[in-house]
Amino acid sequence: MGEVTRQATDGFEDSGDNEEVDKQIIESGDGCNASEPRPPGLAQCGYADGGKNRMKTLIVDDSRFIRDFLKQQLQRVGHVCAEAEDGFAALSMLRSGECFDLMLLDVNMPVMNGLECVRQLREENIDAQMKVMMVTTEADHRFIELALKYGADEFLMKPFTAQSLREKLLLLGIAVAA
Amino acid sequence: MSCSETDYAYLRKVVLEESASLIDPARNLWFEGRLNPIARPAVTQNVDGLVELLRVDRTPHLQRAVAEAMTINETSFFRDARPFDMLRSKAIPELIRQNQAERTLRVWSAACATGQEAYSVAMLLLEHFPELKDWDVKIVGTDLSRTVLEVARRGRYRRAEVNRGLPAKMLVKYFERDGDEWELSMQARELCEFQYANLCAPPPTLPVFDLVLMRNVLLYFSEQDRSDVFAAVHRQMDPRGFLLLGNSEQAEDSTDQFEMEFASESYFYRPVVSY
Repeated sequence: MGEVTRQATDGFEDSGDNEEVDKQIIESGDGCNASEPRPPGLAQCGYADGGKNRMKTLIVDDSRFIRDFLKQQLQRVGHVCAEAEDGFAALSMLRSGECFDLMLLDVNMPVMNGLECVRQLREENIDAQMKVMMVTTEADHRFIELALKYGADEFLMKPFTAQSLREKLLLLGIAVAA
Repeated sequence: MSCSETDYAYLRKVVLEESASLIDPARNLWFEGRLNPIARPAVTQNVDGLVELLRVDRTPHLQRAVAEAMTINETSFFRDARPFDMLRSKAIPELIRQNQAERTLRVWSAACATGQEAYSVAMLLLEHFPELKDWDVKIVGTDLSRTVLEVARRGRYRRAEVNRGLPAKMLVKYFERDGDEWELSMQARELCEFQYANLCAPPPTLPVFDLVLMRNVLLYFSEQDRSDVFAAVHRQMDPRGFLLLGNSEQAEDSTDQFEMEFASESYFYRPVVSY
C-alpha cells in the first residue's frame, strides 16, 4: 500500500468484516424485499436482452451481504451488475478493459481500500466517464472531502436505505424506475 | 382496547377540521401508532380514551395535537431534484432580473416540515447566485406542526437525513459534523426563518412572495380546500412570481388563478393576473 493509502486511512479503521453488522448497515422499512417480483423480462441470472443498452454497475465491497443488497436494488432498476471484493480486484477488471457506467465503492476492504482505488483510477484516467460513489460507514467530514478530492462523484453513508440509494443515483444523473 | 369505526370517523373529522387533511379510512391503523404518544401525556390509557377526552372537552390544543401527529412530514434535501434544476436555470435568474431595482427576494416553503426544502433553496442560492450576496433574501418556512418547526429551526440533521438527496459536495461545504448530527452553516440558516401557519386558516402576517414551493401538500386536501388554498396563495404572491407543486399535483381546479408552464423538465405555475 502506498503513502497516500496510509495517510488516507489514518483514523478511519475498519470495523471488520462481520455479516451481522453488515445486516444492520442497511436500514429496514425501505421496501428491501428479496421476494419482490423483478421487472418483466428479467431472468434470475441475467437479462432477456443479454444486458445490451443497460446501465452497467461495478459493486466493490468485501461483504457479500452488502454486494447482494446493492445488486438486488440495482437490478430492480434495470442495471447489469458485476462484483469485486476489494479495490485491487476492481482495478484489475477496469484495467483489463471492462467498462462501467457506475462504480459503488466501499472504503474499508482488505488488499486495497476504496480511497486508494478511486485515487489510482482517476490518476490513471481509467474509464473516465464512469461515476464513482463511495458507499461506506465512514462519515467524517474530512474523509468525505478527501474522497471527493481523489475523484469520487458522490458519497453514501452506511447505514442507508434503498430510497436514499435511489436518490443518490438521481443526483448522479442515473435514471431509476419509480 | 382498540378504536371502533365510529372513533376513527371522529378522529378523521378532527384532523379534517384542524388541517384540512383527508385521512383514507384504509389507514385507520396510523391513528394507533401516531396518537399513542399523545394519549399518554393526556392521561388516558390509549387512543380510544383520547377520543373520549376529545368528545367531552373538545380542547383546542388537544385537537391541534391530533392533527399535527397525523401530518405526513416526508421530506428530503433537493427532493425530486428536477424542480431545483428549474429554479437554477429559469426561476431564480428571472426573479433576479425582475427584482433588480428592489434587490429583494422572498421565498415561501409552505408546509415545510423539518426544513430541508427551505434549506435546499438557501444552499442553491448561496452556491449558484453570488450576486444575491447584498440582496435582502428571506426564505420563510411554515408548517402547522410546532414540533417539526423546532427541528427546522435547529438546522441539525441525522445521518439518515443528510444521506437523502443532498449532494456530497453540498454536505461538506454547508454542514459541519457534530457527534451524530450534521449542523447547517450559519450562512445558510440566516437566510431562513420558520413560523407556524395553517394553510386552511387565515394566514399570519407574511410578505408577498416571489417564489412559492407547496409540494406534496394538497394531495391530502378536498377539492374545496385545495381551491381555497390556491386562492390564498394567489393573494400572497407577486404577479410575476413562480409556484411549484409536487410531481403528481396540478392546479387543475384553479386554472382561473394559475397557468401551467414547463421548463428544465419541470412544471411550474404563474399567477393569472386579472384586470
